[in-house]
Amino acid sequence: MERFHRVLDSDLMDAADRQAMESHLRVCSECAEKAGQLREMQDLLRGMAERPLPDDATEQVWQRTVRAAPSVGRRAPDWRFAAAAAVVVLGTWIGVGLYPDPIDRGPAVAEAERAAREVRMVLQLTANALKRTEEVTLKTVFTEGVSPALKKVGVTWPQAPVRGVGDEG
Amino acid sequence: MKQTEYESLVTMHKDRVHSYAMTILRNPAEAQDAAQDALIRLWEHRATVPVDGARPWLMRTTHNLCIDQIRRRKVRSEIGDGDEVVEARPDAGPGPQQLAESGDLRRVIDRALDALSPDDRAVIVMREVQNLPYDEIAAALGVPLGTLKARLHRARERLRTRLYRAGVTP
Repeated sequence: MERFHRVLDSDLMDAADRQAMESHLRVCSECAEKAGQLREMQDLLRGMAERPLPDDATEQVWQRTVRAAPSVGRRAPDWRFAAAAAVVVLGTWIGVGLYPDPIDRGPAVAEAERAAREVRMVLQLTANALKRTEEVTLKTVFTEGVSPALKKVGVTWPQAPVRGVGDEG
Repeated sequence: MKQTEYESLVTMHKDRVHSYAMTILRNPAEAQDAAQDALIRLWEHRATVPVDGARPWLMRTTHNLCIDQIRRRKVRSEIGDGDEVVEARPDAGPGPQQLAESGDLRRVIDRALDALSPDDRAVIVMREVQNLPYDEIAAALGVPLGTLKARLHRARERLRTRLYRAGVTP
């Protein structure tokens, strides 16, 4: 039977070996029966249908592999773009608050104008605070020797006045 | 390995991997998990797995995942003792044709495969069902070629005996 397994395995057998096996199968009914069963079993197993991986399971594989990978060339959004978008959104919100309806302005206008003035004041204070922070930082760098390399190349502290809310006009 | 190559490999081998896991584990949820894990691991190792070596790599990984799962289940050791009888052979067996027509042939073969040890089942499925080349099976199972062939011949004999007793083979 070992030779017959080699036939099933498609192992190379020389002509003499194959002839000897076939001769034996012709005279040995027990081996012939086993050989027939093995061959039939192999045919049955080769004919078994595959069990496909379900579509939803395949989809999960894609999501956890190729679709989870970062796309080439995609970058994080620029902060300046985000800031500009925020300004547009804020401005739109203020504008809608001030002029909810071009026809029906009514008694709400005075209240809306007061709210707008408060918003403008808050924005101005915020801008002043940011400006002052920037100037203090630069002054610290130049006057306290944080970056002597800048002095070497001739960059000096710009003596610009700091403007506040009450400095307008 | 490029992304497109990975996608082609998954499309080509996902059913083979799932079929193998299903035959070894006999549990749809566990087989699905094992197949998915193997395919995802191929993506994670795409930098080192060559395209032409992906199939044996997938089969080896799937096999190892299945064995790990079986160990977790703590399968009883007597499964592989080689003496179980699937069914008593009927006096006048239905034969493969009748079994196929009644839809029972697959069930009987599955039960006969179930009675084999995981190692025997692995070689039978890879060689006889999936028709993989010997060197690939040996690599997947981590055994020398001679050991693989001896194991295959032994597994064939055991399965033949079971199918004969179940009336599938004449």
